[in-house]
Amino acid sequence: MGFKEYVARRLLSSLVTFFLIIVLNFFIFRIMPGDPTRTIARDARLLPEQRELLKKRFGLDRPLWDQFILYLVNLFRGDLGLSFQYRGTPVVEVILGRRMLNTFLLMGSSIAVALVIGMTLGTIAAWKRGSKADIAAIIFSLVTYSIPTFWMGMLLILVFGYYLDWIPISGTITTGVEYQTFWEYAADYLHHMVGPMVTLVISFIGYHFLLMRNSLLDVFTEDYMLTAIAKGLSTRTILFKHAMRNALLPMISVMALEVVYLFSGATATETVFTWQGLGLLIYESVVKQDYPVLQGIFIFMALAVLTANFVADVVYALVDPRIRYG
Amino acid sequence: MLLKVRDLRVYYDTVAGVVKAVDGVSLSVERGEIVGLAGESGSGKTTMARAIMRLLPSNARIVSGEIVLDGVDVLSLSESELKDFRWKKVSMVFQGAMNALNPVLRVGEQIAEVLVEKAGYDKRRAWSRVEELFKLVGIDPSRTRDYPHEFSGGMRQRAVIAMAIALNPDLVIADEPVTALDVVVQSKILDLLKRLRDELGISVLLITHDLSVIAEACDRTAIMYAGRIVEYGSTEEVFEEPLHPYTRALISAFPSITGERRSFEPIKGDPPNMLNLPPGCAFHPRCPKAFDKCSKEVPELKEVKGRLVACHLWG
Repeated sequence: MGFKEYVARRLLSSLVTFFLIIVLNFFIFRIMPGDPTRTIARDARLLPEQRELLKKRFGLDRPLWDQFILYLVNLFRGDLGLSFQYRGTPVVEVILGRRMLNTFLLMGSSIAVALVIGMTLGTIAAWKRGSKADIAAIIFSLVTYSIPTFWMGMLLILVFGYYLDWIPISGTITTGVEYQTFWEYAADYLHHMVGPMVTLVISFIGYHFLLMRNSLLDVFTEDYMLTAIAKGLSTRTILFKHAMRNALLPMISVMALEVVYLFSGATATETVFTWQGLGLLIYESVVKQDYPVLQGIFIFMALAVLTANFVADVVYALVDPRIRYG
Repeated sequence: MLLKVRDLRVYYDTVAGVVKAVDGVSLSVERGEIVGLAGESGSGKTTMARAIMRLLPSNARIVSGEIVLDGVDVLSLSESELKDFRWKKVSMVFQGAMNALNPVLRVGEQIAEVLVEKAGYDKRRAWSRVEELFKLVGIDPSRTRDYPHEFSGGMRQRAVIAMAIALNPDLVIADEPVTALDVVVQSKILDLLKRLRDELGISVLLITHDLSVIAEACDRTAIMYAGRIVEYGSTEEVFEEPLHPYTRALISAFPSITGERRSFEPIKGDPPNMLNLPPGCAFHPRCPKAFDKCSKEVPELKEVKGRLVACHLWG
């Protein structure tokens, strides 16, 4: 099987999966108890004309089969319906834009920092397995990995926000402040980001550390590593050329899965810090029963998971020569 | 004399106790000679090989002894001297060539990198040298850019041999080089080793549990049992007239292809517990000719009929 055929196959299977998810996403909300016309259209906060528009848009008076076709047609036109909690704002507008940017910046930087720190520590620990530093790092990782993020977030808010007053307690920016320059705004934004970011970095490090360490230790026991040492190659060549490339293979799928966080956000952390991202939006939509928004986020998440997995599959094929033929 | 190992003792510290994997082994290899080292699993063959390359696992310690290769005192080399010593003076063909090659690097690259890093070749010269080496070991030189999984078992073993001779070492240690291969390929690989010995003048220390491999390829043979060499002499003599009861038992436990039809005689009892070796000669509980002295005194390796034997039967 050639590389192009491999990519085409993966792409096709991703598309099939996406279609199945869309179908599931439709029926999941229909099998929920209660009549959708009542739960959705009778929201008191919706204006009467919007309710009529919504009813007509979704064809809620028509048979289920028709509704499904309509749902697909609307979906491919990029129409995900109107949000309840935001008084009829289109779901696409609610999700894309600010919310997504906030989550992207927070999750992206947290994952990147955690990945670099975790993998570096993991490599050092694996190379010096059994040393005091290795054992200390394992204990640190297990403890931080086990702490629930909402609790760690609250602890940070209490200590660094309330007692020490180093970080803002909540929000994305300080409310009611007029910014003179963009940089002033950016500084305030980043100041707000410290709390949730530290929380996320700490909770992500352990995972990356343990994974990298284990992955490398597995590789170290392979015969080809003994060959590399026997060849008298430099430590750098042994570690980075022979060990790393093999040890990074399992890390690719981990990174692919983490791309999902870029879209879903970390609901617990965002909620604790009132970080105006998609994670908080999920929480709010559940509380306020804003089904169109939830449905929209689900689709975006599915799209993100599939894209990330597709990219991971392609990267695998590029890094590991065995995959195309296997 | 190229390699001289004298009274080498290598012990492993394990949770269960100390394993005396190699316990007082002396062995020599001449230039251009193929020496076989045979014995059951756990008799210390691989530990010997690893000790010569200073590739022992971290729980192993070299308790005593001396390893001299071409005038170099191997045990006194520093870490940085070792990097230079390995592969240039002595290289290794590992047990199970399947896994000895890195799956994500091209086969040629794994040979070229040694030439670049250790012999100062530039990339282009290194790759053309790799092609020469492929020809020498009988692989189509157009396949240097293949990955290991695109090679058959026999080709991988040839590639590993090409890798081992890349820097023209004095000694190649081949640890079970043909074990996972079928007999036809086995025989071809052994012929290759003999041809390389003739053409390049390298010495080979061939480690195997398979006596037929030894009989086919080795000039001299050392038989190991429980961390000690029990018999060492020319292959012909050892096979014609084994002097140590263990060698005799080992040979009669193998079928003979050329000789007359005879029934196998399995060796009685189990291989010794390396954590708790029997006193005296470690083979005495399984030995048909054991007498009083055998359970009390460890027999020395002494010259008998022009070879070395460690058995009380011989004085």
